[in-house]
Amino acid sequence: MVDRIGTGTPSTSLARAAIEAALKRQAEATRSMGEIAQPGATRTEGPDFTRSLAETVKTVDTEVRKADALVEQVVAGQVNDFSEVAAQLKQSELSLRFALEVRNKFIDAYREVMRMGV
Amino acid sequence: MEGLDRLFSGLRLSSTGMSAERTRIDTIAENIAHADVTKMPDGSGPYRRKIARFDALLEGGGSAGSATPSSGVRAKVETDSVTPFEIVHDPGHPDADAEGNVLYPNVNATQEMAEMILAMRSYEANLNAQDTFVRMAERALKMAQ
Repeated sequence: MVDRIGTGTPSTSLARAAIEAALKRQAEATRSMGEIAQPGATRTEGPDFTRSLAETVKTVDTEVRKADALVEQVVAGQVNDFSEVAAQLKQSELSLRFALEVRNKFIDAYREVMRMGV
Repeated sequence: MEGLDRLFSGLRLSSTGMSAERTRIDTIAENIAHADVTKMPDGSGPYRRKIARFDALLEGGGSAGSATPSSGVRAKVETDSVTPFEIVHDPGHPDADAEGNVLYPNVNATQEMAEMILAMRSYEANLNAQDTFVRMAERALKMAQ
């Protein structure tokens, strides 16, 4: 009777085949994930994230330094253009805030990964 | 322009506009202040009115005919040597000529006032454009939070 329920109708056998195929795919995916995680495995080539992050930080640093230099010039009385100073200050402030926001996002992602149950 | 400067080009463009308008205001102020100067220190007659002429700045110092986008404006101060001097009959004036006529600068106070209002409004327009740019960037930043 049970056999008949399990194998008799064509729809249940189709469903079973589908579940088995899905399980197989899952197992393969898990295996390939494990392979990537192994040390010494070849890494996928692409733009080096660390380097591009460092470059961005350097760009933002240059912006902030420019603003600092301008403020120094204002204090020394060497600047006769307020709008340029204001624009540079706003530019460095905005780029710094954008960089901070990107950093926050990455730290959030890192925390999320660390919180993952094993 | 590279990198971040391109991103903030709207901000810098408005800033050059404001700078140019400030030069214009300075020129107008100079004209009004010198409206009654009948003799310049170098003895070259009355003061000549000055005009701020606006030039487009080209990105990377490109030539005027090329299609490179403008990176802002710049005001150049030039002398108005076309408008004639005003002749006033005032024999008692130290700078009066043999016929008692005195040459006054070619500055028209009404015109200068109108120009000043124009410069102020243009300055405000640039300021508004800059403010809009900053607000747009801040809204984008808020969206990322």
